[in-house]
Amino acid sequence: MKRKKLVALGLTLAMVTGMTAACSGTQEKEDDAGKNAVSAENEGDGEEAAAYDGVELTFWMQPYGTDPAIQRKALDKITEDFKESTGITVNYAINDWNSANQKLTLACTGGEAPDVADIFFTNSFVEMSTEEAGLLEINDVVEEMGGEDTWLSAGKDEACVDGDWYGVPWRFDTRVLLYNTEDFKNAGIAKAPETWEELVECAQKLTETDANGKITHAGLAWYSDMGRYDQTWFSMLAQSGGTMMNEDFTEFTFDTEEGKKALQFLSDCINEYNICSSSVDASYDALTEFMSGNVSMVFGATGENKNSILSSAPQMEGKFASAPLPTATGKEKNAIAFSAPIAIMKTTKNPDAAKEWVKYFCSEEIQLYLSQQLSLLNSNVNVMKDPYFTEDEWLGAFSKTASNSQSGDMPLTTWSQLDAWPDGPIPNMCAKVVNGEDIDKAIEECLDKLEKIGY
Amino acid sequence: MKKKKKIFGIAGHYLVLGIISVFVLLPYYWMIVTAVKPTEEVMVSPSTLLPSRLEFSNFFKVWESIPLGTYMKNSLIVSVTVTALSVVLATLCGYSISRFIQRRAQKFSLVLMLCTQLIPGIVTMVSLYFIVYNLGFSNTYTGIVIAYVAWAVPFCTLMIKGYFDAAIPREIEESARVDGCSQIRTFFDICLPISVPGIISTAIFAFILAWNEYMWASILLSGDKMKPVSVGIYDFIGQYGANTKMALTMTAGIFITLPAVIIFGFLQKHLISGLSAGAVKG
Amino acid sequence: MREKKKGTFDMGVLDKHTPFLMLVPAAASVLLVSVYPTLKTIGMSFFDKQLLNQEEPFVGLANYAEALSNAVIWQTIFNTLFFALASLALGVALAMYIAVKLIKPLPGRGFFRALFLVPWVTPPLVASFVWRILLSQNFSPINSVLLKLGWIQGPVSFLDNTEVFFGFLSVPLIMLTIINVWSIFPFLMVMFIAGLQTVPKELYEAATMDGAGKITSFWKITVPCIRPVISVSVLLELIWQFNNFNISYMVTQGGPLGLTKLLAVEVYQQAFTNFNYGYAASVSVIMMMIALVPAIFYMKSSIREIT
Repeated sequence: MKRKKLVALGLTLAMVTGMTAACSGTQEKEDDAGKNAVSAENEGDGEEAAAYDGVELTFWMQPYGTDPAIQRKALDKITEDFKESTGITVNYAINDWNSANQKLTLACTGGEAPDVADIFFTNSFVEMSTEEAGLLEINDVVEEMGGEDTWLSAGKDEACVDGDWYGVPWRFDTRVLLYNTEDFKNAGIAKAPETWEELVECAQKLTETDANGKITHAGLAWYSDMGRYDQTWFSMLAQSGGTMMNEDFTEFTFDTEEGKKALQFLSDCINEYNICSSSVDASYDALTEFMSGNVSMVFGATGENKNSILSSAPQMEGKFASAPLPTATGKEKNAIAFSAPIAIMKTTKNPDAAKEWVKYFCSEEIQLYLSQQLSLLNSNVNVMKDPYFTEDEWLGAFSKTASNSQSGDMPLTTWSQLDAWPDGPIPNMCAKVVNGEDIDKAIEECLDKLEKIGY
Repeated sequence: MKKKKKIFGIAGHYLVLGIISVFVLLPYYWMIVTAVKPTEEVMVSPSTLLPSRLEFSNFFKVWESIPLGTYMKNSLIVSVTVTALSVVLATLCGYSISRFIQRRAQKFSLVLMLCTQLIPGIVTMVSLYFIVYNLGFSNTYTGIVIAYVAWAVPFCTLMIKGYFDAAIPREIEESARVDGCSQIRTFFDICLPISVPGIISTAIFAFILAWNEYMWASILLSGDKMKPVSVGIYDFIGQYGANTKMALTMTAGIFITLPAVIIFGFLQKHLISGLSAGAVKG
Repeated sequence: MREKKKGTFDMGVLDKHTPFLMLVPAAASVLLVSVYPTLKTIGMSFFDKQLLNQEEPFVGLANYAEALSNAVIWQTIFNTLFFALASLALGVALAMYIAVKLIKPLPGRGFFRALFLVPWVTPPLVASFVWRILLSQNFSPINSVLLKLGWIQGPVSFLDNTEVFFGFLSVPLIMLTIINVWSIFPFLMVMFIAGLQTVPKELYEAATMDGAGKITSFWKITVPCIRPVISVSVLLELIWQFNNFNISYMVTQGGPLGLTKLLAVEVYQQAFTNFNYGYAASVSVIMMMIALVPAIFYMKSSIREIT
């Protein structure tokens, strides 16, 4: 009986603490709101010098780099410096990639929104923005930062919608060939392949199969996991000289010889040359396979891969290198490139403070620092000219590719739907071709579906 | 002869339990092995079944990589609050159904409770988000607690009602009523203290629901300060869906699972005895 | 009946309504969090609500027609039914077997009971992550063991097998079901053990005297005695598993090639990847309709019981 009383007491105690905790959670929130209101008033008074004192901004970002701790430290430093020079406090929140899309969608359609956010799918988010919520047009900021020539062209594609800018480009991403130098040496291969023919030849030398022809050591692997072939195909399209869409982005242009050639090559690597496994396995990841020595070349590796390999598989140190991806004949573009912007939300109470933060965050100095900390490439032309990028052996391949690439994401409102994984028309077409469907038929079906969704 | 058979029986009994344990423990074995392997042995295939030497650096590194301590604190606050509130609501509701509603209508109320279970959580996510947001509760514990409590209450009510039906004799309350106690006092002073076993088992269900929930937490909460552990290990997953931090993820997994395992290892006795005293009699 | 004591009139009224007042908080929370959003969802299913379209025309049953004429949805429905029924059947069998074993007063009983509870308190995200590695082609210890034993030539890929089919069943879906059994059996086990403890031992003694074997007495005594527990927990678990989202989403995201896609994942992807709220709502209403079927059977039987 005594014990029961004790338990009852414990339960009550738990209840009380729980309730206070829940209440204090709300309290904090209200405090925040209060501060914001106060700061807004301050601004109203027109005291320009101290206008930003006590202003708080919320900044959402996705995780980058090899270790979450590095990103936190970098952001702590940047936000502290920023506070010192402007008086604005930036509270950052790192939202994981799995929830980022929902959160930004809800933020743009009237849900909880930050003041400033690291976004993607800009066209979609602009389209779903309402009168009160969503992305704020910031042509003035872009103008102040030097206009569109400040960034690589992929940057404009992703930040500018119908001539209006809704974000400032920051990170940049392109794809290279990652290869195991030791495997190359053992197979007697002197240099990284530059054409598709050389790629196949190399991979065939490196691939090992068992008696049934099943691959036991793959010469080549696509970087994208779970059978997501679309990304690989986009690069191949560039390498065969094809384009996804015309220049005004009004029509799809992959139903051409080049487009078919790229699809054929994608499928042949798996089915014909047997140098690459189909990798539809949810647990198959090209990079971890590369680290474990199961794969000699990864098609489409990204900038941060180097640090991932060094931290997770130290035994690989000194045994890998990067090179621009091979192209059909060695003369075409090497790969696709992506860029992503930083945007301000309409719901912000302090648009001016938010703009200050965007300008600071996207400045060359900070971007170079972040590129180094988070192993990212940058959209800013000047940042990419820094010796950090041009003189580094690993990053050299990326610098080269960056200047010889084409856009990977199309600036379309419905792009996220057209390229939705796994069931969007484009990934679906690639998967079908790899699974043996006739290329002409697959393209036709895909174009029909694209038409139906609209763009 | 008979004795021999009995020994075989007992050996067989443990053998079967052992085999099932292998199935149950397989993931934990692999979490621990991966966590203590030297880094260069993690990304090796075919993978080695045991580490060549033990390395415990991951156990320290993981706390620096992600704010695991904060996540745990967040989870604990949310789960305990949810447990407390669900128990209060479910006990009140279950008692009322058990005592004041006609037998026939009782079945009906249970059917209603079942109907709430038909609703897949994923379906209501968007509408619920905007309700909670408009109440000003997005990115707060309050918002998350409201939803968890409402999800836990129907099942908890079912259990606690069963307990009141079967384990608490009505005569006790009737005599209290004759003595002039109000209904609410009868409930609190007489009925509640002797229902603790049933309440504990109900509480456990609510706690586990809150501790494990993923989707709602991932939509409603942003930032390290609010995140619970059930969402926490997504921190390791990169932009391209790849996770190269296998060992650290496994280590985080161990720390995330451990508190709940310890708590429920000790509580399982109460869970089962509370249930069998009445909660499961339907 | 009730003796009016010095309590004021107000108190009396309050007292009279106590039973009702006790119901209010629980009912209100359920109405707010479950019922109201569901009604909104049902309403939304009749509109062509897409986030990328500013207009939301009323389209009647068009979303339903689109869903039901889509072969992918039917495959998904079959996947979901198999996943729910198979994991339930296996889970119940395993849980019952363990429960019967762990009711015997042999040493270590408490230890094993606690041990088998562990999957239940493991957050699904953690469990899914580990299982994905356990079933991977190159990092799986299962493959290492099988290779060492010489039972297989090369590593088996459990989650990407798109060649071997058993009817409409694929290997990845079966794997997913096994993972799910692992995660749901502890709940059933707890319920069954609790139920078994209420079965009077005398019944078994009498049965043994009559010469009934273990299996006979299980079916003739155990099952009838704990029938209420079985029916409630099986029904609940069936509905929960039919609505299961976590395992399919976290382990395979519905892949490869949609082979392991479950209805809840389809709803999620339609809503959050395609921003197609109206269509997602109609699929979820279809989901609820299907889940209603076993519930109706249960209701019918329990109504028969009381009349």
